[in-house]
Amino acid sequence: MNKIWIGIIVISIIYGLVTGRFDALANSILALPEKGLNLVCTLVFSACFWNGIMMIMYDSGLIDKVAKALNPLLNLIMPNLKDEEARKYISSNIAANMFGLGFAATPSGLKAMKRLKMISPEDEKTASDEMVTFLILNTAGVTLIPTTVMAIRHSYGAVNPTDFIIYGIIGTLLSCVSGLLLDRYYRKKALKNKR
Amino acid sequence: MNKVSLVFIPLLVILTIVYAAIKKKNAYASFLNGTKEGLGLFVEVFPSVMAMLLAVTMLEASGLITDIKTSLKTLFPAINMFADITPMVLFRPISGSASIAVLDNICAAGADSFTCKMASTIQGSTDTTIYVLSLYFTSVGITKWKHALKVGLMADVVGITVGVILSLLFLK
Repeated sequence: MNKIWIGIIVISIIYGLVTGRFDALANSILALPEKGLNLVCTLVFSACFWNGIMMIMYDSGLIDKVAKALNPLLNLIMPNLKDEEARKYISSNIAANMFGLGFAATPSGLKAMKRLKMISPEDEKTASDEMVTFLILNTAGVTLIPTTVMAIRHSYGAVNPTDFIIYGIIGTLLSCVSGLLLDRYYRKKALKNKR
Repeated sequence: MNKVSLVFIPLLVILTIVYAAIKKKNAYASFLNGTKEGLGLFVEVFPSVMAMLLAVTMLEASGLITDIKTSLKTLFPAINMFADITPMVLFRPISGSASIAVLDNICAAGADSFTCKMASTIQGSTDTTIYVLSLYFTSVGITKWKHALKVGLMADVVGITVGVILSLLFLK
């Protein structure tokens, strides 16, 4: 990350100086703190709000209900995972991801990884099949409410900041399904190669 | 169709609160707790957003992106509308803050523009795959990832493609 970051900044500034865009460079650097503050306010305070809503869901047991509803799906996706604790962490991780709250999903996600490692049949350094499937589910995972994106669009005065979410849901669903199918395909292929 | 998504948000809020009321839970206290917990993010998120904003803003202000875009446009006229979202697509798997910074720039230019809508759709249908994988795997000391990275990125490509097609069809 460090190298990419330095690379982008150095190349851009040199290019800007060579092509004589002094004004634009200086002004945008000076405008950064305010711009950053505005963006972070949009991000963090919308996250605060949705975290509040999600906490109500946790405390009232609605998340558990959602997790239970996801159970048959989880059986289909990870038929070999019988461990209750790991399943619990995985379901609440997926539920938080649905709200586009990736960071709120991280604690339960890391717990799920730890648990999966404890029951992993593989050696120390190798990912188990369940870990791979779980992370694909996580990264290609379904985001029902992209809260941050809506907040940004709202802050710039979009007429209907939510107009894209249905298409986003379709996109995320298809990406999730194809990720899971590809996961199966590669797992079977690896199994064949072993024999 | 777009009306449906407008109803979705208030419906979700009322459903949550009514459910808590039926279960006789203190929804008010829970909401306060959750919101307070979220505040900690400010300190956590602000530095990385600032850093990424610096990189993305320099890319824009130096004219590098604009010049690449204009030369691409003269070479391939059809690529026109995708030129704006290319930086976001490239940053998306590596850093959530960076892709959000690009999205912020795009939507600042017009929150109802087609580019902003398309970028939002893509942002909604993909994830920071490389970042998440390295965070989760390193947290438990796993170095052999099997096919996780390959499949994660392929799923992102599917998400991006579907996002582009759907926004071309319905949001233009």
